[in-house]
This record gives sequence, structure tokens and C-alpha cells, in this order.
Amino acid sequence: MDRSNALKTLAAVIGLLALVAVPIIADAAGSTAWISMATRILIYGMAAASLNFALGYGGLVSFGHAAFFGLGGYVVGILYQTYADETLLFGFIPGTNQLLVTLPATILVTGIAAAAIGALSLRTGGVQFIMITLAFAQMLFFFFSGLSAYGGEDGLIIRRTNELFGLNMRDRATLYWVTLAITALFFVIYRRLTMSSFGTIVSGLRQNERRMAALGIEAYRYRLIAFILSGIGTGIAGAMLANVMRFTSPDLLAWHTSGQLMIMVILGGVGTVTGPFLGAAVLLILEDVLNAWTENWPLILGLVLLVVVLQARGGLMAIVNLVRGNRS
Amino acid sequence: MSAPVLKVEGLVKRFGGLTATDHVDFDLADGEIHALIGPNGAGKSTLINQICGEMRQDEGRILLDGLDISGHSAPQRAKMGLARAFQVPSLLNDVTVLDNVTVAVQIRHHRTYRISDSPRGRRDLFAEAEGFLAGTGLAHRGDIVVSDLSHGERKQLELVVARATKPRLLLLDEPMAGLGASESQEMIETLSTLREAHGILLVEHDMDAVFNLADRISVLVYGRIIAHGTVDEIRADPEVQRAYLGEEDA
Amino acid sequence: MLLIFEQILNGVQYGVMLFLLAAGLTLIFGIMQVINLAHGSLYMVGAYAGTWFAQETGSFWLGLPAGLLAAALTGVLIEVIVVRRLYDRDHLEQVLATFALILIFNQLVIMIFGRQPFFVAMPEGLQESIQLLPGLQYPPYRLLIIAAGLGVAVGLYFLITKTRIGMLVRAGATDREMVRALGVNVRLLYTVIFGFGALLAGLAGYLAGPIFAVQVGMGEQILLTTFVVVVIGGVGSIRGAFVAGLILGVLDTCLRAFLPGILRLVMAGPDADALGAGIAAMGIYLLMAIVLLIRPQGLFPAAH
Repeated sequence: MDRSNALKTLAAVIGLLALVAVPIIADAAGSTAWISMATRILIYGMAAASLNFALGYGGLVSFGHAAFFGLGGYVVGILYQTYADETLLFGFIPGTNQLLVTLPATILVTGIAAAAIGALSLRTGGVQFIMITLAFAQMLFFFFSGLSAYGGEDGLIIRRTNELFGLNMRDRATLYWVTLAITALFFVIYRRLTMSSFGTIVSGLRQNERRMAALGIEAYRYRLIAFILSGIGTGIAGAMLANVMRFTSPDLLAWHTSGQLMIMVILGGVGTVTGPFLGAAVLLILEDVLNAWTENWPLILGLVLLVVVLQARGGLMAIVNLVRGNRS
Repeated sequence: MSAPVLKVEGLVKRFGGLTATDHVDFDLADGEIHALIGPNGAGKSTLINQICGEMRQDEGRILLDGLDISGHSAPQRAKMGLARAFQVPSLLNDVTVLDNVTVAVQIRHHRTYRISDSPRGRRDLFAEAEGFLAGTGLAHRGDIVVSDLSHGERKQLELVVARATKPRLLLLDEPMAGLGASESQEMIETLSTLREAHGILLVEHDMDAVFNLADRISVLVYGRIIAHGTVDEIRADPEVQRAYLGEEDA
Repeated sequence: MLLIFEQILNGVQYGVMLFLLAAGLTLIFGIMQVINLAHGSLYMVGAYAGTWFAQETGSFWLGLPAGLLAAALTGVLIEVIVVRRLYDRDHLEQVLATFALILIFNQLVIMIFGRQPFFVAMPEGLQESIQLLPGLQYPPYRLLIIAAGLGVAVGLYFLITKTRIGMLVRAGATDREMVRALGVNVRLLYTVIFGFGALLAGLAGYLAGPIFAVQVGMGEQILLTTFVVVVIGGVGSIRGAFVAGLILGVLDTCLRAFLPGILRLVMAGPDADALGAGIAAMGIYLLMAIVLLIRPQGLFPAAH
């Protein structure tokens, strides 16, 4: 028991060191594109992990998480534009380019949005829940598409990444390390959440709502809180993506993005802690590699996805666990 | 005699033209095992569902410790000390036996909103949960995932989970159903030790078990209670013999 | 006034197309409990195959059976290869597997037909607008679509209420075991229903050709709207699909036609156009959210 714990800690430390070293290795290999890729993987990993809390742990199949992803991006974008134009948003909110302000603002905005969407959507279930979450995301998609003051369909360019402690955020490696630090913090909180008392209740509701009711649990409020936490996590990822891409657009809110996040979750393994990060890495790298190889890459991606869904239940984490299990 | 833990007054439930629960009255004292028997279709499940709060009655009241709980939801009633073991085991199937008991313990301690627990806190919960498993047939099965348990083990776990909420009243819906002879015997022994701590409402088909355990019996036929009394009184009641026991013997 | 009447007719025409798609989707939803995102791909297959054949032969009317046949065959094929394995899976896996099918079909169409949209001429004999009312010229082709949609609706009504297969479909929606007990080959029944839904989707796709462009991704735009129709109408209900299809068709068309103009009364032209288009597109989703909050099972919940 102690030995396996020590091994786990060792593996975590080595993993973290490897992640920290990515920009250095990429520089040495002369492929700085890896840094951008690694940054995006971390960000999409956070978004997918957040979705996984609602979907994998809570059994809430949300087809509308792109809404929170995109909202996070627009919080950063709109605050930046307000800052650049030196105007006031709604006549009283000053803009900002400080990450330490935009992230809490994202948490506030996506938290409120998730509370509103969740409070209404959770009154339904099953197919209707999937569709109503999709509907709310589509509403936001069309809303931002029509919002010409902030770029409309073309999206919103953020000229400079948010500032943090006077770091040189234009440097890709620095931006990567900042993202990594945020992801690491996110991961620690997320992992504790999945193992917490609250996480146990949420997962219990997925498995058997009737049993939980017989134990004294009102499903609605727990699911709502889980949905809000999930939305906030996805929003933070969206805010980081806008910072890294220096751009945000309605595409982030499109239903394809919701689908993409779901694919990452199922690729990595539904209801696992590290699976979504693995899923994000595999999907983004796969898209990249296939894209370089053939213009017909969506066909191959579709086939891979089909095989994974139909054949490999439990996703990549099931395979990882299988290998691990065989070894010990 | 102390005030009743559970009191059901004039309960009525209709489905269209059918009266599934027809002005049912009964009560249950602390430390008492009150058995509810009746042929299939007598309305036992409907009655249980109303007491638990899964189904709302059309008329009448349900009192728990003198408090009217007729308007409370199932989770509210559970929090007030009403625990239920389901006839068909209804558990958290993806997690272990110990996890199932721990959830019940955790809810009793109101630890449901904590989004970050100290490992120590979780350990204490697990330790308490293990205490409820100790001395049962599941004592060494804590690490088994529920979906790998046998039917008999699941029935036992239903009971342990219900006990772990430390309820005022245990509602046991056919705890013997689907058990083998030796498993049934064990269950009877377990239940007889539980009467000290809780009032028990026992719905059961197994007449040996009922006559062994019950302090009082109510007989439900077509939604109406046709007889009330001690084991001997019920055995001797001619109407019960005709309506119910006769069928069983035939 | 005439303008409003014309837009309402356009809305009805869009509505019956939504109904053609929604009818198949709601049957598949209601009976097999499968969320089929690839239904839009069948619409696209019908449009491409039919249009291609029409161009090869030079006849719009020869393209019609080709489009129907291609869509139905594709439907049967994906039912047998993929969808059949999804009946006992949860919704998440159904969504993702059929999402994968969208990727595959879109790319296959690009590989075969290229990225250029096809623009299709109105069929011979229906090019000239006719005068419906004094001052109202209306293309007869759109009237044909309305007639076709209404015809299918009437046909479906008789099929479902008066025939043995309709009885099985109704029974299947409420009680699979009962259908099995009747000695019906449920597997075959499902394949037939799926193929039939695909056929209707192909019909909608082919008829849509001369009105919208035939292009990759055409199925997805209309698919989401179709889902809204199905959910508002009540999952599994053909009647609900018909009513909701017409309501949404008219609502969506009128919002798009008139909202920018109304907004222009209070704000600058380009901003009003953009905002109007945005809100008009949100309209149907807003309606769905409202309907679901009031009636979580939709307007005409199928008996379960």
C-alpha cells in the first residue's frame, strides 16, 4: 500500500516535471508549435474535465457546455475592448487587461449563467435535458453572432494577452507556464471535488436517484450546484483560451464545440479524474496529425470516434488501467 | 405504552375507480415490530410508498413522532428518521459495499455540501460505516462493488444502509424475498436484534418470519385493514383465515 | 398585408419540410429511444444523390426517386452497421456515435462532389410564378412542397392509425415486450422504420434543393431546428411533429423577415440587421425552452 502510494507520488512528480519541461524540450527540438499545442491541451483538458464532473460524475448529459466556454472567452474579450476603448461597460463597469481580474469576473459571469441555465434545464431530464442545454447554448451562439459591437460573426480580436505580475505574457513559454500553473491548481481542486462528500452525493444521484431520496437527498439542488461548478470550470478554460489565441468568436459557442468537449470526455474515459486531459491531448494531437497528413482528416476522425464509442467502453483510461492492472 | 413512532390515520389512495388504500389506520410503538401482511395486490406497496413519501395520499394523515409529515417529500421524511429497505434492492451499483454505507453515514452527519474534505474526515466516515458492517454477513465484503454481489447480499446491504441512517423507524419491504432458507434464517435473527433500537414496519410474505418476529400484525386485503392484533389473535381470526391464510395453505 | 401572407406561406412551406424531417426523427426517438444526429446527413444524401441524378438525366422528376432511394438505402445501411448497436446504450454514446457519422458523411460528400454548392433549377413546368391573389405572385414549386408535406402527413396518419404496421409502431412506442410477444421481428421492424424515416428525410432534402443550395453541412443547420420541432411536439408524437413543425416554420420565417425592419425603427440599419438576425435565430430555441419549462414532455407527449 505504502509502496504503491510512493510510486504514485513519484509518477505525479515526474509527470509534473515533464510538463514543466515542455517548452524547453520544444525549443531544443526546434518545434515551438509544440508549446502552443501543449497550452491548448491543458486548456481543453480543463474544459473537458469540468464537463466530466457534470456528465461523468453527475450523469447530466449537457450538450451545451460550449456556452460557458464561449462566455469565458467573451468576458476576457469584452473587458479588454472596454479597457482599450477606455469606456465603461453598461455605463459603469471599467474594462481591464489584468488576468487577476478577468478570471474572477469569468467565474462570476459563468457561474450566474450556469445557475440560470441549470435551474431551468434541470427541471427536465433525459433527451429533453440534452436538447434544452443545446438550446440555451444556441441562443448564446446567435446572440453573440448578432452582437456587432463586439465583432458579431467575425469574432473579437484581443490585441494583447491579459497581464499578470508583470510577466512577459507575449512569450509563448511564459504563457504556457502560467496556463500550467492554473491547470495544476484547477486539477488539485477538481480532484478533491470528485473525492469529496459533495462529489459522492452527486455521483450517487447519477447511480440511483431513488436510493438517494430514501436517504434524504433532494436531487435538484445538488445537481444544480454540480452544474454551476462544471460551468465555472469550463468558463475559466474559455477565458484562458481567449488569452492564448488572443481572439474569441461565436465558434467557441457553437454546438460543434460542445460535441468536441464531449468527445474528449468519452475518449479519455467518462467519470475518471485524469481521463479528460488524456482525451483532450489525444483529440487535439490526432486532429493536428491527421490534418497534416490528409485533407480528409474528418473522415478518419469520425471513424476513430465511431470505433471508440462502439468498441472501447470506458475510453482510454480503461486501457491505461488495464495495462496498470496487468503490471501489478 | 409510549407514544407511537408512526401513526397512520384514515389514509386513502385511489387510482381511477380503484381504491388501492381504503381508510387505513394503524400505529407502531417504539421498539415494536409491526408486520403488515396481505395477499398480492392488497396494496402493500402503495401503502409503503405513501408512508415514504414517494406517493401522495388522497386523504388522511401520516404522523412521525406525533408530527404530521403528510406533506413532506421523501427526502424530508428520510431526514426526519424514516429509513427504507427496498423490496428489489436499490443501491449505488457502481461503488463498493462500504461506499454505500458511508454515503448513508455521511448524510446523517449532514456532510453533503462539502466540496473538499480532509482525508482524515473521510477516514472517520469510513470507520463509522465499517462499524455498521461488522457482525453482518458483509463484514469482509466491504471492498466488493455492489454489482458483483449476490441477491442475498444485496438484501443484507439494503438493511445495513437503512440502519446506518440511525432511523426512528425502519420500513422493511419484504426483506426475505428471494432469499434461500439459510439466508432467511440469518435475516430473521438480524431483525430480532434490531427491535431494541428501532420501530420496524415489516411487510413480508414469509409467514414463518412474520409469526416469529412480529409483536403485532395488520392484515391488508383490497386496500383495507381487515384485522389487527397479536400473532395469536391473527392466527385465530376466521376472517383472516378465509381471506388470506386459507389461500396460502391451498 | 400581402407581404405578411406571402411570408406565412413561406413559413408553412418551411414548416412542412421540418415536419418531413421531424416525422422520421420522432419515430426513431420514440420507438427505438435513439438520438440520431445523423438524420441531417440523410437529408443531405437525399439532396445530393437526387440532384446529381437529375443533372445527369436532365429531369427533375427522375431525380426524385433516386434521392429517395439513396437516402433510404443509406438509412438502412447505418441502422444495420451502427445504430443497431446503440439501442441499449445511453444517450451520451448515441450522441457521440451519430456525431461521428456526421463527420464521416460530410467528408464523404466533399470527396465525391467537392466543396462547391450545387444550385438547382426549379423543375420544368413550375418555373413561372402564378398569381394566387391579386398582386401576389407565388412560385408554384413552394406550393408543391406544401402539398407534398400535407400529403405525407395524411398518409402517415392513415398508416399509423389504420394499418397493421402502424399498430406495431404505436405498440412499439409504448411496449416493446408486447410487440415481441406478438411474434414480430423487432429487429426488422426497427430497420424498416429507420429506413422509412431516412426516406422522408431524403424527400425533404431533395425538395429543398431548388430553394436552398445543396451543400455540405446543409443537414446540420436544419437538424438542430428539427430537434427543436421534435422536442416541442413531444418525443415520439407524429401529430406533435406536424403542429410544432408548422408553428416553428412560420415563427422562424416571420421573425427573420420582419424583425430587422422593426428594429430599424429604433436603431441604426446595420446594427438592427445583425441584431435582428441574431434574435430571430434565437427565437425557436427560446420557444423550446419556454415550452419545456411549462410542459417538460412537449405539447403532445406520446403515451408511455
